[in-house]
Amino acid sequence: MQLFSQDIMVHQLTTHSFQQLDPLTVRRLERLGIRPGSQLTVIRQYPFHGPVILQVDQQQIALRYPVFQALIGGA
Amino acid sequence: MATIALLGNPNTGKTTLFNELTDKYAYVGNWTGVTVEKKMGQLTDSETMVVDLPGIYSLNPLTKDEAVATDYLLTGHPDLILNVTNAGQLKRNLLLTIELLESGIPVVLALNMLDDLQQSPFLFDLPTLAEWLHCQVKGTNARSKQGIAALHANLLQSLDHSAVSPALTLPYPEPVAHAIDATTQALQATHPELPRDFTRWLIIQYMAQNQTIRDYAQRQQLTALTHQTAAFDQQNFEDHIFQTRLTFIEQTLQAARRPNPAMQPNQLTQRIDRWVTHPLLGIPIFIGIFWLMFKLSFDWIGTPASNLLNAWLSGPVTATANHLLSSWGTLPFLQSLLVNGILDGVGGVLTFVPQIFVLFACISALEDSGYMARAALVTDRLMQMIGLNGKSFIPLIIGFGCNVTGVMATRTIEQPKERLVTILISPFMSCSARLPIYSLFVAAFFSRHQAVIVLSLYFLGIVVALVMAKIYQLAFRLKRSSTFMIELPKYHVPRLDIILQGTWDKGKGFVKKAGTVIFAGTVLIWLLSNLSWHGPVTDIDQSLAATLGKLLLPLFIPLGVRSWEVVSALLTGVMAKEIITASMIVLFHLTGRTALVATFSGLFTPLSAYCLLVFILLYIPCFSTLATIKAETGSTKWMVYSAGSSFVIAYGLAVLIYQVGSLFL
Amino acid sequence: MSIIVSILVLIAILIGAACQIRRIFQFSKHGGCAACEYNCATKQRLKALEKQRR
Repeated sequence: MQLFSQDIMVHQLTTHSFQQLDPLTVRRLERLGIRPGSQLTVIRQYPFHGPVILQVDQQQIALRYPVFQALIGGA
Repeated sequence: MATIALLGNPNTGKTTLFNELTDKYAYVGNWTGVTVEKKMGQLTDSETMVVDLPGIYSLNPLTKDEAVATDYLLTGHPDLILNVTNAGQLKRNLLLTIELLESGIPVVLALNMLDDLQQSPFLFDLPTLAEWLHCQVKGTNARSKQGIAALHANLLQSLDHSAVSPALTLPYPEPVAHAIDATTQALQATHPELPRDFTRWLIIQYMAQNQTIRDYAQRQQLTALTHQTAAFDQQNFEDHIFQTRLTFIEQTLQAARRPNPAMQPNQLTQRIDRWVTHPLLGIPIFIGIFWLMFKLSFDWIGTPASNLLNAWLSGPVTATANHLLSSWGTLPFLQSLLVNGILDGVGGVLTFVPQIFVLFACISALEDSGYMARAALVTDRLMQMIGLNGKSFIPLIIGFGCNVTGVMATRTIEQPKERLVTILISPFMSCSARLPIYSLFVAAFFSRHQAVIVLSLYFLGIVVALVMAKIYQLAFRLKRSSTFMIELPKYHVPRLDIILQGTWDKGKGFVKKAGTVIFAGTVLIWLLSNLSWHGPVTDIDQSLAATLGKLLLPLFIPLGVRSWEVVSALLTGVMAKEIITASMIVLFHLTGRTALVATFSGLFTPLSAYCLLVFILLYIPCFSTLATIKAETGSTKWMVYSAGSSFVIAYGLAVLIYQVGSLFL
Repeated sequence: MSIIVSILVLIAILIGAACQIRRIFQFSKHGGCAACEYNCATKQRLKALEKQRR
C-alpha cells in the first residue's frame, strides 16, 4: 500500500495517513504542524534507524525512526 | 489588582518577553520546556501582575506542565491574555490563539521573534490579522527589545478599556454549531452564573476532548455537558473543530500575507547543524563541548581566580579578623567559632564561586544558543536504548545546575512511569554543590588533569543514571517509548546580558546558601567538634564529631577512607553537599584550602580520593532534593527509596572501584 | 563588658544557625521550589503596593 508520495531526488514527502500511530502521538504531531497531507522535507536521517530531522513550515523537528516510518507508511 | 496571563507555544520567547515587561528576572533558555511552573512578576511601572505560564501547543494538556496553564485559565481569572507567538511559525501558533480568543478573555497577540520572520519570503500585515482575529496585534522582538515599549503601553491601555470586542466565533459545521448552541442554552439554564462566552468556550473544549475541562465539568456537575460525552465523541466533533480552526487559520494568513521585499536568508543554523547534528561527529562534538566547559572552569579561568580569592581570604582577611577580635577582647571560644568555624568554613566554600560561575556561564551560553535541543537529539539513541523518552535528557542536564530544578523539570514528560524514573535518576546528575569538593580533591591529587577527572565524574553520574533507568525500565515493565519529538530552534548568537543573568540566576542560590545552610552546617560541625557529652573539649579527638565519625569509620574503610573527619563531614553533607567542604576545613582545623590540600596527601591515595568523590557524587541527595522528590511524586515512600537506593549504589560502586583499583595500583 | 557582648553574639549565632537548620527540615513546604518562593514574594510586594495606595 503506497501511503506517501516521494519527489524524485529531493527528500520531499507528503504524509497521507496516520492510522498506524496511537492517538497520543497523532495529537503531538498535529501540534507540531504534521498532519495527513503535510509536506515534509527530510533534512537528515541517522543511520541504523536513528532519529530523523524533518522540516515542516520552516520549522525543524526531530523524531524517532518508528514514528517517521509510520508517517511515510512503512511498517 | 489586574492580572495578565502570558501564554504561547513553547520556545516563542515568552520568558524573555516576561523579563522585558516585568522588573524581575526569570530563567530563560532557547529550548522547549524551560518554564514548568507559573511565575509571577510585576509589570514595570504599574500595579499589574504578569503570570508567565509554561509553553503549550493547545489548551488540551498532554503533560503536567501543560496542565498548569489550562488550570490557570479555569481558576486564575486573568483580566487579559498576552498570547506570544513565533512570527515565523504563525500557522501552527494560531491554533492556540483561536482557543484563547474563544474564551472571551481579552487577548493581545504578540508576534514575537520578528527577526526570524525577516528571513522568510513572507511578512504579515498586522491590521489585517487584527481584523480577522478581533484582537490587538503587536510585533515584537524580545531579544533585541524591539516593540517592547509599545506592547507595554498597549497592555496598560487594554486593561483600562476592559470592554473589548466579543469572543471569536468560528463557523463550525452545522452539527457542531447546533450542538454548541443547544448545550449553551441548557447550561445557561442550570448555571446562569457562568458567563455566556465562557460557557461556549467550555463546551467547545469539552467537545474537543480536553481532559482537564472534562474533569472540571465532572467536578462542577455540569450535567448538560457530561451526559452528552458519548454523542459528541461518536460524531467525531473533535476532528470537525480542528479542521474548522485550520481552515480559518489558512484563510486568515492568506489574507494577511505580504511578500517580503527585503528577505535576508540566514544560513547560520544550517551551517552549524551540518557539523553539530552530524551522525558521526554529533557525539564527539557533544563531549568536546563539555570538555571545553570543564577546561574553562577548572584549568583556564575558574581555578586561577579561585586561588587568588583563597589566598586573599586565608591570608590577610583571616589575620585581620584574628587581630581585631583579639584587640576587642573577645572570648576565645567565640573567636574560634568566628574564625576557625564560620570564616574558614563558609569562606572556604565561597572561594569556589569562580569555578561554579564559569561553568554556569558556559551552560547559560549553550542554553541561549539553541544547542541543548541538538544535545538531546544526538544523545537520543542512548536514551532509546535504555527505554527513556528523549525529553528525559533535558531535566538531567538542568540537574547539573541544581537537582531540585532538575526534578521539577520532569514535568514535561507525559508518561507517569517515565516521569518517575527520570525523577529517581535525576539526583545522580552532579549538581554545582558538589563542585567545591571535587575541586579540592583534584587540586590535591590530580593537578595535571583536573578538567578530565571532573568530567569523568560528571559522565559517571550520567552512566549510573542511565544504568539505573534501564533497571527501572525492566522493573516497572515500561513499554519502549518511541515518542520523542523535539523542535530544533534556530541558533541565536548568545546575548551577553542573558548569559550573565542566567549565570547569576543559577549561581545565586550557591552564594545565598553560604549565608544560610552552609553557615548553619558550619556552626553545627564546629559545635560537634568542640563539645563532648561532658561539655567543651580542647582535644578534637574527644569531641562528639569524633565519637560519631569513629563509630561509622569501619563502614568506610572498604572504600579507602582512613580518617573519622571525612566520615563526619559526609554526615553533614546530607543537609547540603557544599557543607562537606566547609566541614572538612573546620574538622581538620586548618585555615583555608592550601593547608587542607597538603593534609590530604597524607590521608589519601589518588585512588581512594577518587573513590570518595564517586561516593559523594552518588550518595543520599540533599534535603531540598529529597523534599522536591516527595512533592513531585506525592509520596514519602519514593523519597525514602531515593535516599536509601542512592546510598547503596554509591557505597557499592565506590567499594568496587577501590577494591578493583587496589589490585592494579 | 566584652564577655557579655561575646556571649550575646554567641547566642545570636547559635539561634541563627538553629533557625536555618529548622528551615532545612521544613523545606517540604515549598518542595524546595524557587518559583514558589519567588511567587510568594511578588504577591506580597503587590499587596503592599495596593495597601499603600489605599
